Amino acid sequence: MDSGATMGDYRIAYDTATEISRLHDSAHRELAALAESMPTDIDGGAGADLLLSILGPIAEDAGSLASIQNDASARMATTVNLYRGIEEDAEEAFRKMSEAI
Amino acid sequence: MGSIDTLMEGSPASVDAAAGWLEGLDRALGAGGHHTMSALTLSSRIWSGSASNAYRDFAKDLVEAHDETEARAHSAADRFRSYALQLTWRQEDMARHRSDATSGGLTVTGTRILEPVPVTRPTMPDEGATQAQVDQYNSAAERYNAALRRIDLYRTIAVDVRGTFERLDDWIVDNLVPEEEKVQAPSPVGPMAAAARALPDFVVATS
Repeated sequence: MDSGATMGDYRIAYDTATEISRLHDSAHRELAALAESMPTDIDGGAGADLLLSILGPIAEDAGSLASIQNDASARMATTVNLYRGIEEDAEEAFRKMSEAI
Repeated sequence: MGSIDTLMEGSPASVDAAAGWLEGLDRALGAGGHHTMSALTLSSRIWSGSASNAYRDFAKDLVEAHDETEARAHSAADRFRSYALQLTWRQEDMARHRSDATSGGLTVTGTRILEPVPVTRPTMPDEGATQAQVDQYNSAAERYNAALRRIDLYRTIAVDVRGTFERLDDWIVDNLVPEEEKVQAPSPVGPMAAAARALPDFVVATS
């Protein structure tokens, strides 16, 4: 944090970082929900093997993207927790200053 | 005695269900890309420094990976829908071949059209044959000609059935094979996952 940052700066940054974490989590959840209903077998006749060969890599990439989104959300949540600590420190400092006055 | 197997395996409903799943994935990937873009835009309001640049580079790559995977899912869903239609049409063709066989006097058991029994040409009666012998010959000749027509029909249907199988096979080669080659090509998601794992924890600083 720059020394010139104010409580308002912390609030905005905290809220925004929380929202960024939430956005990544939403992306993760929407993709992860689909994993449960992924077709594992297609009664596709002569084309069945090809259909599964087409679906497989796409599903795998989608799973990786879900994992990446989850990771991004978790990293941002760590940042939010960092903020919480910083903000609490700042709040405590301001309160002590207030009490001293 | 031979037979023509008209069984064309596969359930268009099952293929449609898989297409529906891909369409859901297409939408989820689109939404994920949109969420990531929103996160990227928000980050520029609160972040500066090398970590923020790393995040934004990562988020841009993530949006692109979503877009590319979304395009693959969309294209595959279209192919699946088309294949379900092709399968429906070819199965209807097979049903028509069986119906033609039945109408033409051939025996159909399940999805098999049975080869008609071989027939021998009746022998012409002698000049001095009785009317009863002539009538008997005429009836036998009629049955013989009808049997020949059934044999001709059987041969025609055998060609048609083979053509119907080939039509589906050709469609598969022209459409599903290239689609499979496309999705088997390297995608940006694998390297992206490795890069994401290597990212440091984000550190945010207001400027």
